[in-house]
Amino acid sequence: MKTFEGYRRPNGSIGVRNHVIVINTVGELASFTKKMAQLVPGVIPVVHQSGEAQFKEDYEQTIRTLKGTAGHPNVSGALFLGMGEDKLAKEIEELLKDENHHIHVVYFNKDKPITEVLKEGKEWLEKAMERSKAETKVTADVTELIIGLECGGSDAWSGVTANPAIGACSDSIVRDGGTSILAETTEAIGAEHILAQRAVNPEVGKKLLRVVKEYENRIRATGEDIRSANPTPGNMAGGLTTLEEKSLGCIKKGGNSTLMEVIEYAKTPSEKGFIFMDTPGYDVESVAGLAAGGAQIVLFSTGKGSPTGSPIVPVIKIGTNQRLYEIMSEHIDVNAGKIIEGLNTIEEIGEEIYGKVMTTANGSITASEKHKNQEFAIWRLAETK
Amino acid sequence: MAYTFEGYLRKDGTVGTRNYIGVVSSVVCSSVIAKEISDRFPKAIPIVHANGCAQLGDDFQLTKNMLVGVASNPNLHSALLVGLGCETNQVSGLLHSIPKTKPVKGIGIQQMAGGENTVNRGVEIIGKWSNEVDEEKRERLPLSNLTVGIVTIDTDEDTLRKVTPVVGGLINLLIQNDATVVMGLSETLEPAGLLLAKRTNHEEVANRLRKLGEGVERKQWKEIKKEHSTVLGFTEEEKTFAILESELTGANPINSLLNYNEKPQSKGLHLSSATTNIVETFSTMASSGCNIVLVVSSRGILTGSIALPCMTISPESKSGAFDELTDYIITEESTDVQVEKLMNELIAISSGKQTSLEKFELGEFSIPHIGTTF
Amino acid sequence: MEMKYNALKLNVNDNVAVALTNIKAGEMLSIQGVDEKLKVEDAIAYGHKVATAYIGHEEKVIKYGECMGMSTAEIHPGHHVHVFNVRGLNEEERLSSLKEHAVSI
Repeated sequence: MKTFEGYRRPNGSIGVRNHVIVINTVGELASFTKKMAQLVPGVIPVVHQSGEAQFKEDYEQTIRTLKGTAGHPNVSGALFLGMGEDKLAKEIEELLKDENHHIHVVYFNKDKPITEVLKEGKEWLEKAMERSKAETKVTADVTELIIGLECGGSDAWSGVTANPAIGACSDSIVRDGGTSILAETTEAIGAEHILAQRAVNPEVGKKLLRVVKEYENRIRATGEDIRSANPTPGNMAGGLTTLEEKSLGCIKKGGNSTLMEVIEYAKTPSEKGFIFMDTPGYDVESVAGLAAGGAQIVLFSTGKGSPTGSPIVPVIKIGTNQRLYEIMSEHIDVNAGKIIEGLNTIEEIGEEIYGKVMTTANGSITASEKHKNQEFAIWRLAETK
Repeated sequence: MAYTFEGYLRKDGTVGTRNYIGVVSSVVCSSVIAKEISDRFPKAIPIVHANGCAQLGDDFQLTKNMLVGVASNPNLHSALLVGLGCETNQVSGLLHSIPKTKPVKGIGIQQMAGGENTVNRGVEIIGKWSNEVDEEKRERLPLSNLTVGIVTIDTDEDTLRKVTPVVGGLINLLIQNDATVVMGLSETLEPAGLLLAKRTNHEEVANRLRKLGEGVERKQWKEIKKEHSTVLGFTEEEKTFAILESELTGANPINSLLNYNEKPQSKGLHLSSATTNIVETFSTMASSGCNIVLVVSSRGILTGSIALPCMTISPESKSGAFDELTDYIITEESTDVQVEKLMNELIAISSGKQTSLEKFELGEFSIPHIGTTF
Repeated sequence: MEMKYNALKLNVNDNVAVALTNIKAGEMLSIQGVDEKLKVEDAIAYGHKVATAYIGHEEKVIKYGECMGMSTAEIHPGHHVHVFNVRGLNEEERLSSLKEHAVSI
């Protein structure tokens, strides 16, 4: 059994990082959140413009994402900046109360000078930083790992090299008792019947079909039709023939394992094994959802080269072709282009990725972490209110 | 007496109250690199956001228009667009749409083969522009060159009663001096739609205002029914409050009702769509050509715009907690005296005096959504 | 760098392989992990597919071990497999593939 050294949290989960973060609830506090993070070295700001002026479905999604981010196993402590009688901050505080996670909210309100709020926040962060440094690692095994699967900036090779190799890695992790979450509902459209056939029972299969259908309808409401617009002329020139083929190239990141559960954006899986999460193809929003759902590490294939990461989870970049690796090695962790060169098989690169997952779990830094790519955005469903 | 201020006269005739170099990310994926470039120069501002890819139809168009608008804002001496390469919102498309009246360039991470090269190239470009910025001087110009955004946030009746005469007086004075005033049409102002409709000579604007005044529900995706909307109506309390808020604009005629990032086509008073997220409202004002914003609030606000000076006005508060972030606190002095003081402060800020929010370096940019990402 | 193979099968059950480089008509196809050699009959651009087994008219085209479409003509080994001889599944076919697994919409 593969093992790693991680951080055991009060709620029993295990982290592969030990971050202290500061998050704003409403957009107005974004600037102060960045300022607050600068006051204490090592603190990571998680900044967004959601949290207000949103319709119900977006508001709920925001709460779920922020709760999942603050309560994430990779997070040792999280400070929220709230405003006045901040409903959102109070709801998140309430939701995380029972998990004994280190969470604190400082409120900006009319009765307290700003300097005092900043002082209070800084003091809490300093303590949180000290505590995180004192926390020691314990041995855990791969059954406690949740890996998110993502792609961004795909090219004609994504479906041939990196995605199947990620699939091989995902199958190995699942075989060893771990969990992997396939995301990006957009990319399953056209191959949902194939994924549904792999469902552990008809209910899970039906839920997958329903999620894809709802997704398609939501996009159709804006006047667009993904099914008839794909594969694009560019895809066809690159050799993709049918929508099924294009979608298979994406969903094969999930390998061939049995589909155990279908979950909503930013929700934590209740099963182990191969899971599907309903997220958009917009990679930064999708990674934020995977992370909020408890994934400690994300595997991300890219053909054109995408530097993006996450504020709380290490993102491992798998390049699809040799040229990308040569010109953009600063953003790539694993070169799946070796498959094209005939140097390695898909299975071998799958093993290499698995190895990278374990060293990353043990603390080795990924390309996106090195470059402080800490992009964060929450999936938007509706317009701003 | 004709008021004047000192600003930066641009080639297209618009005037900046600031002289920034904008580093604009086309997509969230290039935001970290854009920020890294911007952080190297005191005159550069990062214009970064969470949009730019996996967007459809009108939602995508708005993102594009917002970025084109803010890059064109007179407060920007120049704009460097930083893209990734594979995003929906292509840098080439933005470059095509930005009028060529100022230095504008675009670079992409994939085209430059990585973040490091992109930062180096960006620093090289902005290094040159920085020298130009240092050489530019402010000129004395009439107030007709100001486009002033007005935003109300977290106001209560008491605040409005104290603030309205003074700010209303200032707005009248601005309009008398041929300035352009764009008032954000907030949620709390909407119930005054019927009243506001009487103040415009444009039938189409009046119709839209009346509809807002009736309380027609805004759309959300689960029930997008563009043809038939629900009439919610407003309470008497909401209406009274809205009428009070509408008095901020005095009795001036309303020339147009602008959509997000739409530019006013004439001097005088305009209304513009606003969201309850002030960062988004400031950003739409920046992209529609405002060069300064006046913010009326009961409490002082905690962020401004990254591109526009935001002058904050509040009534006196017992605790004074947010006083250090407020530029003008309403006093017991006579209205005329205060209007004059407020005008002087506005002119000083337009001429380069830092606002409280600018001193604290509190400024953001964000783009509203009008649809889902996919 | 010496290329050991010029094509890749993504699953052992596939009846197509993906060209890893531009292959000229008349060249031999060498697939990673597969011993038999096959003569390529059409020019195949990299990223495009070549049939590795006979596919009759209206038969399943298999890639990733899954059905990626139905052939619209007979396809002989070594020939190019693309939009002119393959179509996507229609709604009925998709539904019937699900029925076997007791999943219905």
